[in-house]
Formats: sequence, structure tokens, C-alpha cells
Amino acid sequence: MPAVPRRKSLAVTAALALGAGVITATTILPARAADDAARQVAERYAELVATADAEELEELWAMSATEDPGALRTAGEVLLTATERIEVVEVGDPRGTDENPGSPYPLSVEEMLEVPVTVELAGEERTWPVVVGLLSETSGRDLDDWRVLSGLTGSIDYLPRPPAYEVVADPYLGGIRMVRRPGVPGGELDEQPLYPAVYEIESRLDPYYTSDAEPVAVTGPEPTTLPALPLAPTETTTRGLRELATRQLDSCDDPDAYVFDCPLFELALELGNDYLSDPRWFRGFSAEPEIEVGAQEVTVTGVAGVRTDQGVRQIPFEGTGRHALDSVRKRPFLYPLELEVVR
Amino acid sequence: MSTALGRRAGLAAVLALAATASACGVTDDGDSDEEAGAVAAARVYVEAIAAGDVERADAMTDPEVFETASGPDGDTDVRPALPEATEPISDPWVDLLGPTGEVRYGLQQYVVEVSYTIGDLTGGDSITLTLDEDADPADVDSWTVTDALIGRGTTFADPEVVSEAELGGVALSYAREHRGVWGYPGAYLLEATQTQTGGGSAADVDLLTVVVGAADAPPWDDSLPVLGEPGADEDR
Repeated sequence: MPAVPRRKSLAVTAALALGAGVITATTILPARAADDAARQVAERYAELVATADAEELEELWAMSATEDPGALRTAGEVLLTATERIEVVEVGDPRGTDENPGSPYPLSVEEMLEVPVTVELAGEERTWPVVVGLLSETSGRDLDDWRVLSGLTGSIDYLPRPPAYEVVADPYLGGIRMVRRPGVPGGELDEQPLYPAVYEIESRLDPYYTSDAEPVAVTGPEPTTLPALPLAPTETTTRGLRELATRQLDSCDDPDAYVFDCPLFELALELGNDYLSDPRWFRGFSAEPEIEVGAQEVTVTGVAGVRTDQGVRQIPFEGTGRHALDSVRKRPFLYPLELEVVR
Repeated sequence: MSTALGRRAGLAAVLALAATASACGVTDDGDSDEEAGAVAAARVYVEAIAAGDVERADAMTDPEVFETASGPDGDTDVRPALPEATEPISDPWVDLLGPTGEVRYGLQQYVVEVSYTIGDLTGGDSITLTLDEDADPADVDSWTVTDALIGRGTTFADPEVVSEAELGGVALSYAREHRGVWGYPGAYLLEATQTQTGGGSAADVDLLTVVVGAADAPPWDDSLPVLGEPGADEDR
């Protein structure tokens, strides 16, 4: 072949190679590098949700752009109390998204990518769309150029807080009081975001009532149903209610007490007691009455000496009194015991 | 000649490869001077609030920020109470998010996310810092806080008992039951200073803690702390 055409051919080849390289280098590969960075951001984020310890919580927090940085910080603290954390199964390829989860005003975000992140929790696999946003004036190739705009966060569907003065128990997640809850119906919305995990939740009216701790699994972005958390008296309350029940029973033997305060008085009247002719109508208990404190009421059983129209008789009795929380005095109280004769 | 062409072709290939290599990798570009300056200024600002240094925090802030902060309800400015905070913010986390849209018009303006603790509570917000024109970004004083770390809170008093109170030394009046406040985040004491006729001594009214700038659903036994009403512990 002649030498000149071969030189021309070489020059054309070089020019084409240069052109292709420039196009690849300036258009395709930067986009791919940005995609890689976005994917790595989502991957690191998911890893931290799965495994972050106290030292890494700030890194996890800083990966997100949020309207409520304080709430997200609490989500990290609560995450450390989880009884089960997620396992990251797969982080997929980023793709463009039209879903705009929003970013804190006035942050400027150029582009959003959705990265599918599949995690396993409580035996269930689930794919979350993690949306990462490219910060303005950045190349997208640096991991710090991206922020999670919509990540691995769900919530618990707490009941709205009631109007003021109405007593309502405080929910505790992993021992941390949840202060961000919806306001009164129609009021302000305040939501505590939670990273997916299994937590222990309990309801408490410290120091008087508490529920058992129940597991609650936050497995998706939709609000998780709050499990039933029936309250029961604490040891402090049980002790206090025993004292209140004892005080009611002891009033029967107290000459200074108002006679109607004695829970046996109505019962004695039904048996024909004429307390006006015999102020000593009550003749004491044959043994210490048994007092059982239950979740809703106090149960009392015993035998008491009572003057009746047939003389003094040993009357076996039983009955209950409801207990509740006095929202004004801020402490438990016992309604009057209602006793009846055991026949 | 053929050698020269070959060299050029080789050079072109090398250039293309170099461009490709630099473009395809995930990099760590580091912060620009402006970004580093914005974060440094934000840290100084937040540390000033944590230290109760209201003069420093105010001096770093665009005064216009404060002009509309009282809102339509006429909430009271309690910034001067900062040095009296019983629980200032602590353990602040500061993270540069990125520029605002103003960067397109040549304004160096950055959004920084801040979170902190106040006792057991957490709070936080985004703040914005703007670099003065032609100023040195490395100089903290070149930056102005144009969206400040301002928190809000609500105080309650029984207007039949309490007519005047102070929050960290800032006077509040109570013609109605509640009074909104705004200022730097922290926990402050609300103290009655004047009672209504027959309302007893102001010194006998229990003090209340009011948190500004942190989520705080009142606990059950404090469902609505009201200055001038019997304390929750009174009968226990």
C-alpha cells in the first residue's frame, strides 16, 4: 500500500480515538462515576443503618439532608437500643426518579437518583427506594457530593396527644421517651423518624403505671401500628394501693372516722346493724384481710366481726375497688371498696 | 513522518485514557475554600450559642433575621436570656450540606445542618451562611449567618395568679394564659416576678423549666406546666 494513504488512515484513526475518548471522558464516564458514587453513598448509608455504633451515629446523621436534624439525631440514639438490626441484602443500580422527596430549604439539589436497597429484617426481605440528591456545584464523583433525601426511615403510628390536662401515658422506645408525637387531633404534626429495626416499646406513667415491653418492628416507610400496651401498677403503686385499701378497712375501727368511710358499713346495715344504738358495731377482723392489687382494681377478702340483728357474727366478705390516676393530684387513688357477704 | 503521526496517535490515546481515568473514578475532592470557611464559621457560631455568648452569636447574624422572628402572634424575643440558660445546647453536630440556589448568581451562600442536645432532648435546624462580597472565606468574620439557629417555645401562666414573669431575666407579661417565645435554643427557668392582687407572693410560685428549640412533649405528670398552679409534687 502507498505510504501516504496509510499515514492519512493513521491520522484519522488517531483523531477518532481522541474524539471517542473525549466524548467518553466528558459525558459517559462522568455520569457512570456519579452513578457509582450515588450507589456507594446508598450502600454506606444502609451499612450504617445495619451496623452503626455510637461512634458512627454522627456519620449516619450527616449523610441525610432533613428538615428536622434533631429528630434524625434521636432516631440514631434509638437505633442503638434495637434488639434486631437490618441486614443489607443488595444495593441495586441507581436510576433517575421523578419522585421529589424534597430537601431542606434553601438547599439546592441538581439531580436525584433512586437506589433500590434490599434489606432483611425480622425474617422479611424488603426493597426500599433510597433517594439521593446531588448537591449543586459538585461533580457527583465525590461521595460527599450526595445526600440521602429519602432514606431508610419509618415511624410508629402513635395516638395523637390529647388536650392538655388529660392524662396519657408516655411511649418509650428502647427506654427513650418519644417526645415527637402528633399533636391533638387537627393540631401540629410532629413525627419521630425511626430507622428500620426491631425495638422494644413500653408505655409508662412514671413512677405509678407501666406496661410490659413489647417488640415492635419498623419494617417500612409506612407508619407501624402501635401494639396494645395495657398499663399495670408498678411496685410503688401496688404498695400505695395496699395502704389505701388498708386505710379504708382500718377506718371501720376508728372512732374518729366518718362511719360511711368504712367499706363494711353498708354491708352491716343490710345485715340489720343498728349503729346508732351500738357505736361499737364493728368488732374487728378475725385475721388480716387479703388484699390483691390487679391491673384495674383492688380485691379484698376477709372475715369481720359485725353486730347484726342476730347479734355479733363473723361475716366473710369480699369485694373490689377500682383504682385510677388522679390527674389533678398526679397520683393513684382508690375508689371506695364495694364489699359483699360471701355466702 | 510516519513516526510523528504514530507518536501523535499514541499521545491522543494516552490523553484519552488519562481523561477517562480521571473521569470514571469516585474521588475525594475535599472542601473548597468557601465550603471549609462556611463550616468553620458555622462551628464558631454554634459554639458561641453553646457557650452562652449571645453577643458573639448576635454579631455573626444578619439583623434582618430577627426583625420578623416575633411573627403575627408577637412572640417575645428571649435571646438575651441565653447566658442564663440552665441547660445550654451541648454536643453540637455540624454538617455542611451545600450551596443554596444563590450560588448561580455568584453569591457564596451555604446551608449547614446543625443538631444538638438539651439534657435528654434533641433539637436542630438548618442554618445559612453567606460570604461577604470579595471577602476572605478563611476569615470567620467574612461570613454572616443569614438564617439563624432560632428556636421557639411556649410558656404558660395562670393570669389570675401571675401577671409578670421572667424567662432567664427577660420580662414576660400574662394578660392571657400563654406567651410564645423565640431565641437561642436551651432550657430556661420561668419565674413569676409579680402576682395579681390576692395572688400571694411571687416568691411562692414554683419555678418552671421551659425548653426552647427542642421537641418536648410534656410528660404525663406535667401535661401543661403552668406558672402559678399547684406543683405536681405538692401532694406526694
